[in-house]
Amino acid sequence: MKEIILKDLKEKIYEHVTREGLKVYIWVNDKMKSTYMTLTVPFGSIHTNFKVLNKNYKIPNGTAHFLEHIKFNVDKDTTAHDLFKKSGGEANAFTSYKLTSYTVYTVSNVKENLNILLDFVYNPYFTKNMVAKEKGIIVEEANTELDDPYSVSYFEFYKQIFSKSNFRNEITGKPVDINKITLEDVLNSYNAFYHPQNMFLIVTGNVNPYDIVKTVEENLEQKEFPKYQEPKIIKPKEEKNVTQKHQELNLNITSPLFRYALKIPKNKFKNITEKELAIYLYILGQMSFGVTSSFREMLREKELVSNFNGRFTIVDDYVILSFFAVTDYYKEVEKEIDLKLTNYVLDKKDFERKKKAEIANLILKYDDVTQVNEQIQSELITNGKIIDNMKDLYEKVNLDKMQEIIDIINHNYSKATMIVKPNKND
Amino acid sequence: MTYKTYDCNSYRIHTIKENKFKTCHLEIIFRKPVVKEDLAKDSLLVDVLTENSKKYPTRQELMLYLEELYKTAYWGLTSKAGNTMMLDFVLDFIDPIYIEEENYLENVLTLPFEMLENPNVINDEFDNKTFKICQKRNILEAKSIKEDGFRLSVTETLENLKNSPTSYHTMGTVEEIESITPANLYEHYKKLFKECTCDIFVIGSLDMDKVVEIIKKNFKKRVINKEVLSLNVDNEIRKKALIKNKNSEFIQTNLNLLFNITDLTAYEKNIVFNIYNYILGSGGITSKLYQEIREKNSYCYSINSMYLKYDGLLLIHVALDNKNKKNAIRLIKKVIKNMALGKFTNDDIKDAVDNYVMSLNLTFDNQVAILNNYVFYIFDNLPLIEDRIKMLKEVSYEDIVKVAKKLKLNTIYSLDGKEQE
Repeated sequence: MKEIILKDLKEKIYEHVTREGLKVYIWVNDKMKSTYMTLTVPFGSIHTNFKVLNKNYKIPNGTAHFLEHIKFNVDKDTTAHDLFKKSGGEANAFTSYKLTSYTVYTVSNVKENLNILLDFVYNPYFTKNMVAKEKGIIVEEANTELDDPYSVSYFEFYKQIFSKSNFRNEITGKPVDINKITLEDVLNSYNAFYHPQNMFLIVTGNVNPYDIVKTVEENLEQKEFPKYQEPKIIKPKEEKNVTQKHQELNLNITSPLFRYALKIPKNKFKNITEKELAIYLYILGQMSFGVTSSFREMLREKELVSNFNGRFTIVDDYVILSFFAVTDYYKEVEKEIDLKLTNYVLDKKDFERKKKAEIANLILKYDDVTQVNEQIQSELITNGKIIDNMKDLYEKVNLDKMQEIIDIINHNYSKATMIVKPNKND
Repeated sequence: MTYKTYDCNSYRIHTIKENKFKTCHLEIIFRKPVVKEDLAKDSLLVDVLTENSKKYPTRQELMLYLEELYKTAYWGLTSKAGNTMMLDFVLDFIDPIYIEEENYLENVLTLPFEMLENPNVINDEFDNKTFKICQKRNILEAKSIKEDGFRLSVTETLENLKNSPTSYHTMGTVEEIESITPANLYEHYKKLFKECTCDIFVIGSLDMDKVVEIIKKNFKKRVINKEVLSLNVDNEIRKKALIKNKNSEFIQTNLNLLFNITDLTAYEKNIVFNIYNYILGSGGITSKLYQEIREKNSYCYSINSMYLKYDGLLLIHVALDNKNKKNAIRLIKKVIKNMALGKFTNDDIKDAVDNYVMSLNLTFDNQVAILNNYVFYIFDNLPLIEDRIKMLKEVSYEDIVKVAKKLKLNTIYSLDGKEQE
């Protein structure tokens, strides 16, 4: 078993790859009572078009989430929840844009709970009946989202920014998508992606890493897996420009909202890794638009906003700089943002303070079994590996490089704005 | 884990020394009985007192200082536990052993008391700019209830409990917030120190004698107030359940069934009812309500059964297609009746106890949860986790049937969604 030492954080992560190809990561904290286990497949809502052995598959939006729901069925009369109830495991699952993850918390019977987790996820039991039954439940889940004006305006805004990318679509799918999903879609997705070689298990908490690996090896040894066919994701080529420059919506809100986004091609940022870019953009976002920024304070002083935030997000081949404001004065807010983007001032003291605070935060992350698990998961999905020199990366962040990044960002990129007003009858 | 209380005359400090976390957590809790006319002021006051202070007169200056203190977080919240109002000031900070600065602990612990005792006040009025920012935020928050079908339906369900503290909005109504001025809020602020009881809780791997010394040096509350506060609200039982429907713009219908829970003993209130509720609906997908409404009939994504312990109420909420509402009401009533008829098994009890014990054990890994356990141990004699676990394991089938028979339907409230295709 390999040990990944996280330099300067005094932390260690065990890494092991089973004979079947499942990657296992373990973080031990013997002061904790609990253990958190996640079995994750990099198959999420954006993966709706893929190729296996020269055959193309196109599945409806929301299929990854649908599969997550019905995966809990073990046989006609039993669900994984029934089994975890007996073994003292608290099981759940979630689907995001890029992944589906099955999770279990426990304070006892780690081995038994781990076996149930592996057994139910690697049990290819799906029927037409369960697909039909689950549709009603998931349509209601999607309707709950459609009753949330912030969620609706978020996805409508992403539809405005992206013309092709699946980031524009709801993770659950809309009711009309959900009703299209068939047993065949579920089976094709499961067979393509749910293979140990394409998945990883993360165990964090009060465990013996050697016991974990032994349990996993023994469990998988009992199972038969077909040859992994390495599905290829077919990613649509996203347009450089936003789909729609401006949009106005009326929703069930009580105060008007304003959304603003710039779509910056990622390739504008040269000689920098994606991780480094993410760190620079995070610090820049905090300095320029965060709670300590003069810009935010100015908007509040002028009583232009009652809530405001701005941040950078890397979405596929684009860096999205987005702002959200609760405001009655969206035109003035837009002008102020445009002005700010041509007028960055780098404050050395503020820059160093932010770096110092972020480094302290890195230490704090290793304090909670859930947070550590999520941190490892995020690194594996984003970078394909655990970054062992995170503290170094933060310490190396410097003003010259930050200035180079700032020079790239201005308000001349393709821009989208959205105004959301209260429904007329409110 | 070592618990210790320090009586400082006008307030008490409760320390929990625990060395498994890298952060520390402090809460300053002021308590008083719920007074309807004061609720809006209570919430706004907490907001204003944590927004900035005399020393850090803008939000930006305060946030920069918190960042200097290695991203220390400081915020306030108000909560209504039955008949008691709690005004809570919370500080989260990194354990000093990770910090090289010598005065870090003193600096970080001084901050909340300095802010409480020296707010941004000019001529006996809160700074007008700060006041307006916070007032607007509170108004928006109060209005935003209408944006959320769950919150709106629950609020409107409880509003039907006339003249009960349970029916009051924790942050007051929009009109009540609008009527507050910087001057009358300052008058209200002065009462905080005079009329409220005060307890301070600290958890972390800290030298607690030093912590107490720093707090005593910085917190000069002089008025001793040891009023015994009762948390419990006695909500009236209706002769006939109230049934109310209202149309809404939401897609889903938000349906609530509210029940009085009558005459629970302390053991039933703290222990047995939790197991009953776990089997009924709070225990997730294997609970009776989930099985009946979601798994057998696909009517909903989730159904919640909330035990409002200090209000003596049980609230069941489900969001669903309006066409399934009548059936859902019938099925919920059937599940409640079956529980009272004892239609559950010893296996159900064992699973509920095991899982409830597990969730209590999970709280040992969360310092806020540990601290909260001590908060209600002090305020309500709630047995500590270890004692509760022992008591939970003794819960019998008869105990659960007995509490299941103590439910009485109070209200069926439905915020009807639009017709779906």
